[in-house]
Amino acid sequence: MKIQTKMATAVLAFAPILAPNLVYARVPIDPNVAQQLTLPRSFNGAGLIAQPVLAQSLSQPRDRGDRSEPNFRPRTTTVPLSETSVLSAFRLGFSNGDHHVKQISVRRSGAQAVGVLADNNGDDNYAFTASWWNIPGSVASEMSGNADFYMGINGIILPEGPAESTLALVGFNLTAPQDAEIWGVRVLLDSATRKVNFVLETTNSARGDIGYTIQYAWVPNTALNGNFTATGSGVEPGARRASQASGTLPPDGRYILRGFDLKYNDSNRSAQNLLGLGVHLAPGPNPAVDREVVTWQDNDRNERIAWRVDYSTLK
Amino acid sequence: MPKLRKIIFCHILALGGITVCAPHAQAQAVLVPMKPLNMDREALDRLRTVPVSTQSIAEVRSQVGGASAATSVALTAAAGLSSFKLQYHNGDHGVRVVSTLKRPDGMADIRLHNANSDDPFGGYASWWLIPGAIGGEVSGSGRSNGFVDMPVPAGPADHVLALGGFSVEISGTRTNFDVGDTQISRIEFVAKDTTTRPSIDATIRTSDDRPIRVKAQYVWIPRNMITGVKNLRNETMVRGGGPFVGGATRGDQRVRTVADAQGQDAGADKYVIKSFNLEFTNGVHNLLNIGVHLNGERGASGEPEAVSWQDNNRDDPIRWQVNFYNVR
Repeated sequence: MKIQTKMATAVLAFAPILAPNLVYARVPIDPNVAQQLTLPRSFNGAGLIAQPVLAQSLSQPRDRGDRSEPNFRPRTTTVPLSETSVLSAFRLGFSNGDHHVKQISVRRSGAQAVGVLADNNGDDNYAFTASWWNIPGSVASEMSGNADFYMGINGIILPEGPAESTLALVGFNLTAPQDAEIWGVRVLLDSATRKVNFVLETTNSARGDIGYTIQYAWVPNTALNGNFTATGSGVEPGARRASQASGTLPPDGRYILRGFDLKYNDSNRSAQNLLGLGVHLAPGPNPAVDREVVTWQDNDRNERIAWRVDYSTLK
Repeated sequence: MPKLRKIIFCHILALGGITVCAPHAQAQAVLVPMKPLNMDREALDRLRTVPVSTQSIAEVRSQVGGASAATSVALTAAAGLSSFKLQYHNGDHGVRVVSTLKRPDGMADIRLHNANSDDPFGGYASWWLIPGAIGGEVSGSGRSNGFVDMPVPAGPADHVLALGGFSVEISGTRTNFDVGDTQISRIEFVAKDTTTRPSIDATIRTSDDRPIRVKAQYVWIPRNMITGVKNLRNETMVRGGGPFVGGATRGDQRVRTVADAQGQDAGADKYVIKSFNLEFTNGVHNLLNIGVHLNGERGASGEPEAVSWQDNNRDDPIRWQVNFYNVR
């Protein structure tokens, strides 16, 4: 730890001269979010290349529900978010048991982060953790509106982005007209078709439009090592664990999300309450631990689930 | 001038302290005619780096109906199917769809379901991505009392034809393709790399005469990537401990084992499937599982098994055959 601190100090000391964008920050980490803070792997002494910067937000569950509380307030991150921020990991979880869902949100608000997990009255405690990478050269944008279920399923085409760049996720906000048991939530970005495909599927999905905001960024391909997908499915034990995932998982926390799909997958396609959701692919501090790389469950974990995460690793 | 000669030529000049190959070459350089070199082309080929195939694996657990599964390496047209196994988790069922296909996005499409598509299943598939291979997809329809012949675009010279993936969709009724499922007695896919008319043929046998739709993904593999052309099979049609005759003792599982198969086994080698045939020889049955895994998956017999093909019990006579290529 001391060594890391010293290295961080050294980096900060050189930063104004060598690489103004290179910042290292550390905050207490929710152990459930396996975001391992390390120095950028590709940091070099010359520091001539601007490197991505990790920014994290962490909140504890609120003590009590009160709409007058700043419950959905923007939260300060370890490093200010910016137009170059791209989402890496997130987790939202009710702290008082599972609930119906009306709104799910993980998004950037200026230099700060917003996380929302709420039913109709929004009075339930929840915890929110997320991390972004600030990637020099990324071009951010967002789209919002109301969409019926099929519009989201079929996807909306985004404006053209810069050449030689990849669509990545910055944030999202999905709001249903009424809370209900949920079946799945999905936001997937496709660089080739420039489509964003999103779903907040509940037992009320047919009864009204979904309010949506999708924040996205075009990330220069020069910042990326490659695009990957991981999937998983099943029931306990192990449906969420790294060892039972199909595809590849990132070797460390240097990755950004291009999309995710989290859903219950029981035979009768039944919807359930939600206790928590999240994507947190990076290895934890102890590599021997078979970590859970996604969160998607109600109270009892008796349901069959299926998940997919599209991500890109950073150079 | 061939590149190799040019390089050697430059080196000869460099030894004399002359740098005519550099951008600022001196005008006074003396050019020395070079004798032709007697190169052993085959020796040179052997010295070149030999490309090797890369494995990609996809797995689904306790899915319902089907799933797009991420692969360890993105699948391409150059990926030849090596192994697969799909199994219902809640006992045997009829079949409407069985599928192990490569998707355009590099993922795998793995499906096993009956008419109502509500039964959990799991499975895996593996491929070898073969340098220099090319491929595509063909499809066809027919009836389950015949076979489906799917012509394949001719491949380059010195290439052989293998399977990249397959899917079978069976109608449940004679008039409506959208409902129903059926018991099944045989699934066979055969890649025929004849020079005149290459094709992949599918033979599906079901409870009665049903309309079927099939897809086959083909892969043309450079012959220099092939290290063996082999066949493994067990056509003794055993039920129980001996040949399939009335009164044979039930309970012997060895018909699926690698050890009791005829032909040449794949061992731990890399291989891709050219053709496979899985068949009940006593009529149609529900399926519990279907698979080809020649490297040997430890099955109910307790021994490495080369194929999966059964209903809930193992008291039905089967025969099976897999033609495959070992690849580098």
